[in-house]
Amino acid sequence: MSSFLPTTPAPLSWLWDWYQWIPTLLPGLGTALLLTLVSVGVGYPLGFGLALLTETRSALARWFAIVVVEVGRGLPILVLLLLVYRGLPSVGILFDAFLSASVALVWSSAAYSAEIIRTGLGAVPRGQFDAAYALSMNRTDMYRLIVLPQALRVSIPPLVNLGITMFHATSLATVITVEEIMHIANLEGSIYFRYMSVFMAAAVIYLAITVPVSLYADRLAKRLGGVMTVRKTVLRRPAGSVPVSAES
Amino acid sequence: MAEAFLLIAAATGATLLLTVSAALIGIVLGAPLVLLAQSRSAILRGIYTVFVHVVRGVPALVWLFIAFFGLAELGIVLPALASAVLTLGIIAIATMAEIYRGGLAAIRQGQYEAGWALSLGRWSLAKDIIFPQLFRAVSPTTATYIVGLLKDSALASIIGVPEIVYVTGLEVQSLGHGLELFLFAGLIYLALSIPLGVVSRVIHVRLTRRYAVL
Repeated sequence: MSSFLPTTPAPLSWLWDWYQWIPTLLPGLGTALLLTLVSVGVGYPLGFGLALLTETRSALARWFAIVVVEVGRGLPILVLLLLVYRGLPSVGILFDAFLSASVALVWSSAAYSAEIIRTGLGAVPRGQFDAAYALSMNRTDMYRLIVLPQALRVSIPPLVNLGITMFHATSLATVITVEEIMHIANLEGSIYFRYMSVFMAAAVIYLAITVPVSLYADRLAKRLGGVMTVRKTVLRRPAGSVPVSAES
Repeated sequence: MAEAFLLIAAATGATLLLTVSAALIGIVLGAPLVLLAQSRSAILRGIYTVFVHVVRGVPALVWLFIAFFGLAELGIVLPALASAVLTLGIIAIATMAEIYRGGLAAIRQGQYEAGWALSLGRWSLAKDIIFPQLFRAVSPTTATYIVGLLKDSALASIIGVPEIVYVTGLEVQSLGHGLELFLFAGLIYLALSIPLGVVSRVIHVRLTRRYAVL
């Protein structure tokens, strides 16, 4: 980076010299991706659990799930981060910056994914559950073999988009000193007073991850196309059987 | 402590100012932008797609820092509040344009054809047939987005706009009691988003009752 120091940069140099900051920011991208992985990998299973809890008969469990989901969705992620990092220490719970960010982001992603998964489960027709009962399946098999494959068709595209939102949200962890992309960008920008150039580089890094994933999500949404689409493989004639029309 | 709660509650004004101005910018300027998406020219449609993907593909915080620190470096020094409104406003324009685009896609071709068959003028077709249906189609999504903007406005605290989160941070710094004060701040956001949800549901029900066509 010292190569920037000797000369004052041209006024619009940030339009073409931003790429020089990419290597400096890459460790931050690693942290951001790790945080995203944690918030998705831990948050979505918790979200699934919360989605099931909101439909149980026990009123206590239902209310617990509703409160966790509504607080997670209703508070800005920034407030969740500060609540964990600066609030919990006042009752003696101390997490370091990365763990605080993980807890806050997991909470948020669990809450949002719970709503997405609940919608997906709600889209599975009642008759599918009845059919599973009629076959005297146990609950695990019913969810594993009948309900989830259909619910996931509805839920997966929004879950991929939520993953992008969580990736964007990792940028907020800079306020609690997690060394992700924006933390490094801000630091470098203030040292060299080259904010425009550094933030351009940061924007390019975010775009490079976000745009391909969101295009993929759009494609996925079109391909999966909702509950109860009959898959072509089901209709295909079993190998070796004789087509009916050939005999007549 | 009591004073801290009052100061935080008073900062709600700044939060609402940010939310409402960004929402208005988006609602108004998103409309001309969506015309680009409907254009016959592939170049204009391309400009629309690139604009929307770039604006929404980068975290709001990056835009906020560009508007606050970046523009200052170029000699355009904006106050923190103006930077925050500019940032949230531009993101709102792109998002509202996408919402309008979704609403237009939900209107069936037959509605236009019916208008032409009655030889309505372009303006009458838009005003009497398309807009009422569009309005109904986008109102729930718009309400959800405004609640999202309310939460995004918390970002402005990072560059020092004295809204809820900023004031809460200051109070926690001087008094401690982080848990109570940040929970209180969170409760304000919850309290603000609930009435917004109710209002949007009422509007939606009214509109559906008035224009129960399709």
